[in-house]
Amino acid sequence: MSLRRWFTQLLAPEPSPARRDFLRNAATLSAAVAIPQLASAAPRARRRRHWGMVIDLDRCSGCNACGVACRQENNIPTYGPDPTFDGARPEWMSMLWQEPERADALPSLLPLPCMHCADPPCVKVCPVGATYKDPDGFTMQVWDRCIGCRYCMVACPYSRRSFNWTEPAWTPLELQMLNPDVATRPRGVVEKCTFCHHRVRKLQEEAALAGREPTDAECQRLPACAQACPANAITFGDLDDPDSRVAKLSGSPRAFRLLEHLGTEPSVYYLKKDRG
Amino acid sequence: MAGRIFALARRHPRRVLPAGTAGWYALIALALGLIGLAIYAYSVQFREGYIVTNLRNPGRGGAAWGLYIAMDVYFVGVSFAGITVASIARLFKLQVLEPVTRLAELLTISALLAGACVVVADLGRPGHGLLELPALARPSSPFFGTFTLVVAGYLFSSLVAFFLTGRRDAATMARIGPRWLRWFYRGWASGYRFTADEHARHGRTTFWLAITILPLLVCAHSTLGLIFGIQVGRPGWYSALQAPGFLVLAGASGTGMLILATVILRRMLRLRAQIPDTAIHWLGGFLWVLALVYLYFTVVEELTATYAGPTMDRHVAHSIVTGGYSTSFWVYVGTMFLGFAIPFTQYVRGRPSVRGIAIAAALVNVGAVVKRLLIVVPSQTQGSYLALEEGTYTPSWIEWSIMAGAASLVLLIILVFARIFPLTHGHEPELTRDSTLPRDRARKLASIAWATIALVLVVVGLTDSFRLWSGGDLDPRLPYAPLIFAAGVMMLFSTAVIYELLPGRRPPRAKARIVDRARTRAAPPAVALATAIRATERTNRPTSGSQP
Amino acid sequence: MRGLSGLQTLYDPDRITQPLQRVGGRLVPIAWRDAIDMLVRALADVRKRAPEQLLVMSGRDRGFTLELLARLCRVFGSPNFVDGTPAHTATLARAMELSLGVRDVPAYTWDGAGAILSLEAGLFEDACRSIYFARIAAAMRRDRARGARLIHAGPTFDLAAYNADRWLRVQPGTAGALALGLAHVLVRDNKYAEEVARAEGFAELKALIADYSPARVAAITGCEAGAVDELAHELWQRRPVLVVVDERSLAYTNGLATARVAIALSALLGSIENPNGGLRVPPRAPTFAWPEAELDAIAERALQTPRLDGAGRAPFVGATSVLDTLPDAIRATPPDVALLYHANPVYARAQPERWRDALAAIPLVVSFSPFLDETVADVADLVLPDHTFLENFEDATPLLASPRAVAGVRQPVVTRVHDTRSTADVVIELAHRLGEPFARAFPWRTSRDAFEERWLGLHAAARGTIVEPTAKQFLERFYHHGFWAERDDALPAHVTIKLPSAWKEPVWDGDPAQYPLALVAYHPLGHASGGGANQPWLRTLQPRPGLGSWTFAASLSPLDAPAGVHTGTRIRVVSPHGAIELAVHLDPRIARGCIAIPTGGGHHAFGRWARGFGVNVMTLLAREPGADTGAALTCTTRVRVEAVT
Repeated sequence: MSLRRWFTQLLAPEPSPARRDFLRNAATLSAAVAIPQLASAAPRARRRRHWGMVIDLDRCSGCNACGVACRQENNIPTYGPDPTFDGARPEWMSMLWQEPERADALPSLLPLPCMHCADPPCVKVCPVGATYKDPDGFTMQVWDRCIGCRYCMVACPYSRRSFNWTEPAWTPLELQMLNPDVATRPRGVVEKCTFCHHRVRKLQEEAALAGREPTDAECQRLPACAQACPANAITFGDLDDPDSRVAKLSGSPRAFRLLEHLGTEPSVYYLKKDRG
Repeated sequence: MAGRIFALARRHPRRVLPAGTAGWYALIALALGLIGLAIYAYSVQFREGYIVTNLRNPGRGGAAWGLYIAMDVYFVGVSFAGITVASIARLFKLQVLEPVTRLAELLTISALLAGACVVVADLGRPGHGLLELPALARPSSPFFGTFTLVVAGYLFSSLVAFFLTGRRDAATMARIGPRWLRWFYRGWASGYRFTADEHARHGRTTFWLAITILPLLVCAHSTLGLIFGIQVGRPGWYSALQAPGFLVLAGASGTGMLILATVILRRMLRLRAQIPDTAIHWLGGFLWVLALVYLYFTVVEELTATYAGPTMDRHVAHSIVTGGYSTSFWVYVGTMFLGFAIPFTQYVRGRPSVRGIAIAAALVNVGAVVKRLLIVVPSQTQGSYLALEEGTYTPSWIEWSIMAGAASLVLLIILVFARIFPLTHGHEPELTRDSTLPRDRARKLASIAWATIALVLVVVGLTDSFRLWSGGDLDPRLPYAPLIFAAGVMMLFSTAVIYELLPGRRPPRAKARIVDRARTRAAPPAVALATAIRATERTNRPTSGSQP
Repeated sequence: MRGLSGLQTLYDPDRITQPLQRVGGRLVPIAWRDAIDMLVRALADVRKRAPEQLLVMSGRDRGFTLELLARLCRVFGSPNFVDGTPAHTATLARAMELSLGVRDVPAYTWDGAGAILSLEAGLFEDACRSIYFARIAAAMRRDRARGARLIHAGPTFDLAAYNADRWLRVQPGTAGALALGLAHVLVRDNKYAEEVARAEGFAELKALIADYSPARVAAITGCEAGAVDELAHELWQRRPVLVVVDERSLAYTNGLATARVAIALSALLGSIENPNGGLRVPPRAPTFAWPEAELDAIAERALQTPRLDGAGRAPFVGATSVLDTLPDAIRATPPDVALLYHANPVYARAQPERWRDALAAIPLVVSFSPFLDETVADVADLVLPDHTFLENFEDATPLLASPRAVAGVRQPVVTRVHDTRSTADVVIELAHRLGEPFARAFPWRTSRDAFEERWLGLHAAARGTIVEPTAKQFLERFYHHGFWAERDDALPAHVTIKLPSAWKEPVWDGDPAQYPLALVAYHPLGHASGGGANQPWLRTLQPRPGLGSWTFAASLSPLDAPAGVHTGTRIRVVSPHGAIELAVHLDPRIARGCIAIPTGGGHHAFGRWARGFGVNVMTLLAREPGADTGAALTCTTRVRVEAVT
């Protein structure tokens, strides 16, 4: 690489030719997602929400369809079995396998998205504000702003953030599989579950055009994981709306949140498994 | 003490600066080689991405922070001791430390540069980082201290102090130093006149710099500790002890590095006459005290974690003390203990030896590096409150190379500097606190105006960096608010420069004639100069209220 | 999940993009025209000499395309049509035939069932039904006033065990003994449906279960005697009960017997053709059949030739196809032409090296596979790539989960990405090119015409979800919705139950002294009948709960592991037929005396995502076709474990 090109690459890495076209096409939507000022230009008369999720562990069978759907929806690259990539594969929706405290008890499987904490440690430590708290309850990311210091990764008590350790690559054929609503991330950037906020925005915009707010029924299976779950274990919605399904489920006696004592106020509730 | 340079100059006119030895050339070659290796390693990392390091996602048992961050805090820690020693020496008039103050300040500067290199090497997108941090940095993040305050406040203030305290010797060297470096000396001297005024002004600025730099250092280092200490999500990190612990370890490792630098340079460049053993003995005393305090911190940490702590905190502590990291831990304890015991024993016996102290210093630094890694790594690979995978982390050759390169940068700077500038001061400034200086309204006004502007910039920049005026927006209201803040801090410190450098009244012509007469006598230039300078000093001794 | 990851089959960068011909050992591109010409010439030539020398092998067991291939084979005159019925489908269908007189895989009624008893069934992990089952199970547990209980009996802690309210750890292949023990308790305590007493073979059944007291069952299976009693009473309380067996249950030599015992247990619990819950005879959608093909004299004569695989003859009287006997049979009398439809025996069958040698002996091997799998890479001479399912127009008739007939159509979602052709169309073109009598037997212009002829039966039935006055309108709505279904579940049918009289413990190949562990080869989550290998989204799924993604490991009890072996160590697993090396995961919950290894690893072809991951456990297996059905079994071999130094 010539010196000049090296220097330009240092300041503004250029996408590969194959990606350039794709990114151009995706530019409009992803710009609206990535630059908050543009997004906040959407209708202001929206009701303020607290988006949250309830995962019923008694319904969850551990099939991981949520994980597959998330990968497909969010253009998460795959790196294959090469052990070099052990620990480097991005994963937004993980399955946590918890061995029980007692030897005779049985383990549990928890689907683990980003908790979108109300008081997130990751937002506080970002030196450039590449992750921030949206008033609707999302813990948002501005991928283009991330400088890759990885402070948010070590700050997250749930370790839900992944780093792009190398440039994601797709063959020209595989590029056609990518979801045009979600920007791909370059190397050096931290990423995590977004609660499929691109889908939420789309729904809000469509509803606004019709002069109304989205209904709870439209939100319940809105993110890709909730939509794909065959057991209907994942529900999404507005925790602040007392009539929503998530609000009702989160009040169940089976409901709990992970690591509540840390004061992060996660927005993901779990309903205990009721087996035996 | 005064005029040591001139004594040397009288004997060996050309040998004001030390000659290069085989050892010096060998170390320079090594440093250049390692820096070349580091550049190559960085180019590999830049081309392929961070996958070539052994850093990995913490959720999968990896460590997202590893050798880079450990070395970043280590280098910044080393830099702490340098300027602290220099400032303490001046504030408390510790004559014994006089010979090492310049080297201490130089160590601070070069270690900070090395730390900056390492932290930039750690950024996933360094180009974006360098462009965005001045515009978007957020002080609510502990990293703000690392990225902004350290450079703006710490490095700059050290440079200012270094610059100002070296002006006098630079002025001397401008007349008697090697010809090809005269431009450098003249630039550094920046019009220094050997007048009593300069002398007194310099005393005053040195005092105030020392007073202000020390709290700044404590803040900056505490920020470094707070990077880890406020992380509630990582067992082993969340502790009020992190910030003070970082300070103490910084002091210990920095003092140790200063001792090592002094001893090595002394030996290599034959500076034994200039830097006596007593300086090293004093530093050795400082070293064992700090090492002991840090061992105490370690004991408190381990006890707290293992006595009745939460499961994961205990798990991390056990993995450090008895588990997978136990070898490193006991190496650290051993080296730190020896680093305490050797100089302590010598102190008790009343027979301090330079060799013993140097060995202790080296051990303390090894221990400090190991301890930094022990702070950074196990809480990620073994420390998750959720039952996620556990893993291991050992740095790859790329990370070791870049670390070696950064260390070599320190080495290179010090080695080169030692040969182009005298390490020991020609004359230590007398700190002046009283207002017996001649009245110089212009200078005072200029300095106050400058400082005021600087303060305004600091306040405006800082509050806007905190996004206090931004409403709900993500960005500060003013463009480049963090840069404004940093510029304000730098301006604040450069008030000292303004104060000292602003041209004052010219000395009366009569004095100049004496210098001319001395020259026409065709005495050896060094001698003539020395005589002339002494003459000037005699004439310019400050008397209350009189004007020269 | 399969649907989403199907994108990766469509856009697989290592797909076959056009027909290929093997020239000088390498596969080179060839135009469709030339490829078909070549095949037609070869087929015409074989027909002149000896039509029975055509072998047609399918990896799928259902679908109109498969029926077209079968039709071609029959009109050609070859008896050697080997369908890809999975072992468990063949076994279960045969068990249904012997027990209920209907040769088909049962459907299940879930709504009113009080319990599901899984006898080693891989409920949440195997094949297409697993996603549907996840939905059903969740609904059964939480959406009803009276939730159902899931009881799983199995040797490993898989997802079924994880999801179960109660997990009974049993030795592999002994779930049938558990069923017999439950039957024993039910009969002893007089808690069984009355009509069973009148069924044929009741006396023999009683004689059989007399031997299986709870104590004996506990000895065979390893579960507690008290648990058997308790469970039997609970099941009786909660009847009707769904007794489920599937792929994993029937992978042993006693698979057929176990299936029959499971049906018998359902009968005892009054859960056969019970509208509330249990086993149901699957109804058929009323599609028309194609007219019987006319055979000419050549075909009639050639069809008398005995089949290569020995199906239909002793000892495989109940089999329609047998796979494990084929390699030797092919080596003995190699056919002249082999057509392989979605079949990859050079990887997926037991002892794949034997298959490679056998197929290499066939002069012309033709594959319709869209992917460069091992069979294509190693032995195929001609490749006529099919579309992937997102580009193809074909029928989609699922394995029924509920007793409601469904007929579906799979329509192209995208225009074809590469130069591929639907195999159904290729078969019809071949038929036309071969002339009489094929042209008469294949009177359609395209496959779409052929399929529509079938679907018009649904229109003629004038019931179900789509009822239209004209055929055109019917087809329009059919294509719009994508499927036709009955409006209601089928009414309970009257079936004659024949009860089994024998059951044996599974037979394991290998001397127990030398090979102390039983090898349980299982299809992991994301296996997708072998098709998941080139779909990285499925590959990343953990093979077994507790293992991370992209891990390939054998599960072994720490008590069975050799000294010095811990999780992550590499071990060598040796059977009488082969040896493999892989990592081990010590699982304290797996049954003693067995080792579980997933299939799907060790590909050396099939694309970049399939290669380089794991090892192929099929190389360890004995070729032990199941008794009577000839099913290709996977849990028949003993192994031993050594640490790799």
